[in-house]
Amino acid sequence: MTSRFFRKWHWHFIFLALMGLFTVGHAWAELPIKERVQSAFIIKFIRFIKWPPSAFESSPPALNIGIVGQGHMNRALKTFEGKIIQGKEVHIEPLTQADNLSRYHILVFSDSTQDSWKEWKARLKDRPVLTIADWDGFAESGGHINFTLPSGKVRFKINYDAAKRAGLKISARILQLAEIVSTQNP
Amino acid sequence: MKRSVLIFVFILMVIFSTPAGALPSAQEEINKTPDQLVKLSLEQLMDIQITSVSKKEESQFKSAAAIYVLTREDFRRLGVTTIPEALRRVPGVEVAQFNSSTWGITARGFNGIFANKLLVLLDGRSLYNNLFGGVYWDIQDTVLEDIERIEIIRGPGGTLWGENAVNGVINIITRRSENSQGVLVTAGGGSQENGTTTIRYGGALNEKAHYRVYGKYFNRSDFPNAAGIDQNDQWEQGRGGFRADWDPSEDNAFTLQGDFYKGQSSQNTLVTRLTPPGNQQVLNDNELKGGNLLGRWSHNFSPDSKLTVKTYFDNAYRKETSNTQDIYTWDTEIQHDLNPFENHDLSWGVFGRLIVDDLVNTSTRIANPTSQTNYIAGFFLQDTYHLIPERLRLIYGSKFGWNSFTGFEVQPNARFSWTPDDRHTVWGAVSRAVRIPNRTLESTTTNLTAFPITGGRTVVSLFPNPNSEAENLSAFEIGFRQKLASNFQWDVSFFYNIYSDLTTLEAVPAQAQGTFPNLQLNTGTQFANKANAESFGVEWTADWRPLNWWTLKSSFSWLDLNVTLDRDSGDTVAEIKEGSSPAFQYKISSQMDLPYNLELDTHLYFVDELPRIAIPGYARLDLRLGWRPVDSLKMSLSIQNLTDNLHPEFSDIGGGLTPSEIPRAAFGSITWTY
Repeated sequence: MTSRFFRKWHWHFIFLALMGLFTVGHAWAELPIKERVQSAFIIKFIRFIKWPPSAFESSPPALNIGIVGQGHMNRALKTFEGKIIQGKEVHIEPLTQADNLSRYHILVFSDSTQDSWKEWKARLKDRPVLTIADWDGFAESGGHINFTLPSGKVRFKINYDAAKRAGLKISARILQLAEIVSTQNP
Repeated sequence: MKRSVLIFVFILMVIFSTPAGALPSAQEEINKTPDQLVKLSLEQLMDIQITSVSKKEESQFKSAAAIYVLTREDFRRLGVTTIPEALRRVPGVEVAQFNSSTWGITARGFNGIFANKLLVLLDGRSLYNNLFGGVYWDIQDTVLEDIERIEIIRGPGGTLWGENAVNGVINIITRRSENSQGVLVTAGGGSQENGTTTIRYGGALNEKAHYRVYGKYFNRSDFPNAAGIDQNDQWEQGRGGFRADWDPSEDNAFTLQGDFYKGQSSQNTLVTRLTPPGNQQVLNDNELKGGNLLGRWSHNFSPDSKLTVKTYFDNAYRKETSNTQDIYTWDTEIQHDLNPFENHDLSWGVFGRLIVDDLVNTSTRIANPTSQTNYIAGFFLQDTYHLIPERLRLIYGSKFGWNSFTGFEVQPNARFSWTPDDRHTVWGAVSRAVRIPNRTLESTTTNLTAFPITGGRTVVSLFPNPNSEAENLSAFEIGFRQKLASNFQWDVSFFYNIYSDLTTLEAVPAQAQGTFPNLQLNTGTQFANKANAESFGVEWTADWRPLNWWTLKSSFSWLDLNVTLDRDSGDTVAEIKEGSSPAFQYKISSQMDLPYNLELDTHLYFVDELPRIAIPGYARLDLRLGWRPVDSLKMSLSIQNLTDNLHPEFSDIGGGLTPSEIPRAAFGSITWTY
């Protein structure tokens, strides 16, 4: 009986549609918790970082966060678009190679940028742009804030010297929570 | 059937429309939006547990094979009482119950009561029977709560796992004894379970040495036939065992474990009689007993060099009406994993297995000789080349083995796995695997029937072929996995298999023996290797956790198998395999954590017909309700086959065993841990 039932093709379509429902399920699925928590950290960091006054010349003053590469960070941070922090309006935008880097106060580097990080670093030189990523070795290779996930909880490493060279002042409030590292020569 | 289909669809709709927000969630932070999270302090943010991917999960995600893992939690939430029933849930695996204690289990086709192309291991001990080729599922058991996980690899695994891992490998892995400490008592019963009880105690000798001991007993009642008449195929078994783990230092780990069992499984079988009144249907209480002892030592020479030595001894005795076997197996394997050059992980080892059997001849089965020693021995070598560390791996290697049936066999494979980022994996593999012959194919005559003729009688038999060849598989696989979100993962694999030298039955010329009036004319067929086959298939799996308290796991598999005979073959049975595995299987499982510590689990299976053995397709619905009133107490109530009072899942055309049908069954159990 069921064999006849299986031979009717519309049943296969119904099953496959059901399975398809599973597959599009991610559309409703929330953002990964890791990106949500990391984006909350980034927004909270803003209060504890002091950029040189020259970094805020636009009016009304804006704080631009650029996202380099693919990933969920863009979507997670987008929820903070337009938020006013310390009188500055937060703007989130994906970044391309051609952008004028001086516009940005924070650059978030996704996983996919590991290979091109050296070029980015060279382009940034010591501009007052806070660099953040969550891949291994980021802080040691000159990045400023490096999220890590030891035992499944978010921690961060800070390359204090590199931040200082870039003219950024990082408050003791977050330094005491971080692991301080310095640049290691490759 | 039409009505039951409607019921299923209705139930599905109910499942999929359950209101979401109505139930509380376990970990609040996980549901918070970034906006809500930013209101927390830095310290609070640092305290949130990000569902981190363990090393094991990561390597599974990046693996270059069609692997699936049934976790301890998955097993518990199936509400089943046997290992074969738990495998029913696994994507692409075919589980067909034949009677109360017999299952046909395989992957990617060629199912049978002795499905001889699937290798099954329990903690590294092979459960494959070398007399028939296949697994006797009625003697495979342990404390189900102590099973850590079951890893199922669809597709060939000959290079690492050895002979007969043609269509797949099932690895049943029990917990280390430090993870099963304390007292565990379970008791259960139901419409098919007259009673089952388990007692396990785990203790520690000191910080570095732990052990557990267990005892288990079950008694299962018989299944009916299509007419609803009980088949007297009841099954009972007592079992005991232990496992001890000792880690004297960071670089040394020892495990010693063992089990023994004694039981009885009953079945209706056709017994060949050479004298009138001829063949008889006999109900037999199979006598089963056996035991095993396994030791494992692993030693780290350095972080990059690890040696594992494993040895076991296994005895299995089985007495059936026409088949009595006593098999002793001794197996040793030494494996060395090292990191000789940068970006290369090398694994090599030597292995040897001795199998001594002692058989009793009957009017149905005549082994010649009745006692024989067989062996498999050899070495293997496999390198994992991390072409781009963490991203692109090439795996290549081969097993080189010698066995007493076919001599030298090579089982090479080459695989790649590419993980461009942590969310995607593409993998592919080309491999060869063999199924080596066994005692039945090489040296046992099976008498099928006899009838009187003038001056004597004619005996129709299945003759062994001492020159049986190994069945070969060349397999081509490709697969893709994607983590779409932290709560959604799916994968798909495609395979194209080319089999050669498959077993056939070829007519042999009649031979006269004896003289008038006691003339015996021997006729029948003889085993040969004159069939080839091609199969193509797709397996699709998705795990989705739409809400914290709700997990959905689903799979779909499709198989197309074509057997062709050599031009000089007169075989009539090899092609049965074309239709002894379902072309389609759909499996959907839903696990819900409800308030008041309740769990509601639904498992749906749609299995296509088996046209060559006259089994219609069926839909099967299993339900489980679990309740944990306090931490130390768990209760579970499950129903199998809710919508169907009786259906067949397999038959044994030409094999002589009488199938039972699978009834609706209810089962309840209580588990107490202390």
